Amino acid sequence: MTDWMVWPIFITQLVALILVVVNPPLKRWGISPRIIVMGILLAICVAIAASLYHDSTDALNLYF
Amino acid sequence: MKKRLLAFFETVELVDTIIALVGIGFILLSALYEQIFQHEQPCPLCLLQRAAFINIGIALIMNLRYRNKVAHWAIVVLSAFMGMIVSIRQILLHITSIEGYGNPVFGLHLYTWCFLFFSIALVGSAIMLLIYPERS
Repeated sequence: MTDWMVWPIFITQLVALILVVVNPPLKRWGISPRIIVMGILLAICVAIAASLYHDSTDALNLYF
Repeated sequence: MKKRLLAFFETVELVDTIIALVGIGFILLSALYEQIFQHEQPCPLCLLQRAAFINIGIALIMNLRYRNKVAHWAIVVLSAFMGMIVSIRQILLHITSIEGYGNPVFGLHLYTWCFLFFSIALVGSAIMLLIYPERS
C-alpha cells in the first residue's frame, strides 16, 4: 500500500457508516446491510494490518 | 430476578457503548484540532490509527442500530488490536529519538496516547463480552 491509499480506507468507512445509518432494504438479495458492513470492517482490519510497513518519519503534507 | 439482571446488563452495555462513542468522537476531534489548528501534519501510521478508531466507532454504532451483539464487540476487539499494533510500531520507530515524532500532549506523544486508548478499548470490550446478556 502506498501513502495515498490510506484515503480509500476512509471512503470505504464512510460507505459503511452510510449503510449503517440508512439501513437500505438489501435483504431481497439474501444479504443484510449488517453483514455487508461487518465484512467491510473486517476488510479494513486486514488493510490496516497490510499497511504496517508505513514509515512515520515523513508527514503526508495534507494542508487544509 | 434473572430477567431483571439481564435487562440491567443490557442497559449497562448500551450506556457503555454511548460513553465509548463520545470518547471516540473526542479523540478524533482532538486529532483534527492538532492537525488543522496546531499544524501538526499526520503521518501514514497516524492515519491508520485514526482508521482503527473509526472502525471501532462504526462497530459501536452498529450496537445501537442493530441491537447489542457479540459480533459487534468482536469487531471492536479486532480493530483495537490492529490499532494497537500500529501504535506499537510507531512507538518502537521513535523509541531511540529524544524528541519523538510531533509535539507531546500532556507529556506523551499522540501515538502513545493512541496505544493507551486502544488498550482501554480492548479491555473494555472484553469486560462487555464478559457480562454480555445471553439470549436463549
